[in-house]
Amino acid sequence: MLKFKGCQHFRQRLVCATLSGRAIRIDDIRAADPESPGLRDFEASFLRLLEKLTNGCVVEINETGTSLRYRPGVVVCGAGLSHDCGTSRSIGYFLEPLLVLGLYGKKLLSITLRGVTNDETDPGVDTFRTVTLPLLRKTLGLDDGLELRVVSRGAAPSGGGEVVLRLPLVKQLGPIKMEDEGMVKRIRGVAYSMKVSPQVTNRMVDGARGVLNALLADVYVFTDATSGAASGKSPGYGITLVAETTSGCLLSAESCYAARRSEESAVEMVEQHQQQVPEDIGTMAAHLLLEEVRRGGVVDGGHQGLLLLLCALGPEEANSVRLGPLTPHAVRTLRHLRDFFGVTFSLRTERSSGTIFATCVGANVRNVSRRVT
Amino acid sequence: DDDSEGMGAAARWKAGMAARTSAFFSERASDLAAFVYGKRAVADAAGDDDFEEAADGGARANDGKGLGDVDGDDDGGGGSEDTLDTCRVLARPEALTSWRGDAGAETLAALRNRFVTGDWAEGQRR
Repeated sequence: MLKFKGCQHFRQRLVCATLSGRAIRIDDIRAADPESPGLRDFEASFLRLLEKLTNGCVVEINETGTSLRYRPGVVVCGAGLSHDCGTSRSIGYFLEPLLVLGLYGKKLLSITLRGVTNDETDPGVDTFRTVTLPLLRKTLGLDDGLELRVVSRGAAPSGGGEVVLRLPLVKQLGPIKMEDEGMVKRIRGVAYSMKVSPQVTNRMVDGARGVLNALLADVYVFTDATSGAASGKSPGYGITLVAETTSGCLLSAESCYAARRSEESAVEMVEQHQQQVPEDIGTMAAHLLLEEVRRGGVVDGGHQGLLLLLCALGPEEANSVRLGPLTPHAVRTLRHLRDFFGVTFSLRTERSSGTIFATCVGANVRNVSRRVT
Repeated sequence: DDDSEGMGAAARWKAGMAARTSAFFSERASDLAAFVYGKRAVADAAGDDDFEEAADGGARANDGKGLGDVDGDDDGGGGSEDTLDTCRVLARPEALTSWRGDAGAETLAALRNRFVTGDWAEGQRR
């Protein structure tokens, strides 16, 4: 049994435990928090989602919720599932682990998720649709069966959004070799708004173009101004930008209006986001995108962890990727991959560009439910 | 032969400088591995308690302490073990100041060759 401490990387620990078939125990979950120690509602919600997708898993939580024991079951998945994600974290929090888990199911996964579609802490559904899914298609060599449909958008704090995710099954992953960054050839994006004037989307696009057009003329940002049933329960707006390179790599950045979720965080919110006019949000997203381009690598900072995980699950061949400076999330991912699968990456820094070549021999994790025909 | 006299020793000392410097910087790769995986990768003789603890698969939190803990870098509230569970790179306000104003124009110019509108030969060199 592997032992961990704290609530960091909660989802990835459970996903890795499930895929590797190893039991885990997590202690001291927010033990230092005097007001609300233990698991939060979104973590409990994720555990319930995990129980929906697997057969025979055992979850034991102590009285205060500060310790958790998890014995994984068999991933089943299936069609027609649905899950209410609540409103304390966005749908992105739940989508991310599903993308990997769903590939190793017994049946095709088709699930409806309800909640907040875009917020300022998790990747939004547009990022998943325009960057994460193409990345999966590219690395797994899949053509169809991978789809994320946004039925309705929902902003924080009340949510009300709905997305449908469909995933194919794999027997095993293919080798991954992504070392060519290429040069940025075009920039696309989506500016969305819920329950506010449609003009807001154009103002965000103006803000982003003001920065990006100095470097590139080929910038086109789609606008999606929703109202009525397709716009959820709260007002909000934001923008997702994607830079596409000549080698087919996608780098993304996003920014959105930060609605306050509770009174206690209101004060710091006001300090942090003094200016939340649409132009500033567009400009900030553009700056974040340029920051990602400057850092380099075949994926942006937010996708480093996922790509490393796919490499580690891959076949017993050399899987190599080129990344920008590692994010804290990616560093913890690397440690988990060593603990769960015994996969150690060799990391080579290229000094002139500051990028990192990460190479590993995969653990060759196979889908046990799928018969070899 | 000037080299055989006093200056010769200095020249010999200087001869290997470039090679030694590059050798020093090439060790940065193992620094990174040590930072990610703890001291195990490079600590050969000095097998201290920290290293033993890392080997049994538990108490992962001690890793990389000597090189600056990653967990201390990001803000998630609570202790370092309870950082916010998100893959998104949360931007700190000061991280983006280099893109604004006059400094921003310079940073943009430095990035020019990463775009197809820049110099392709420079861009391919990476």
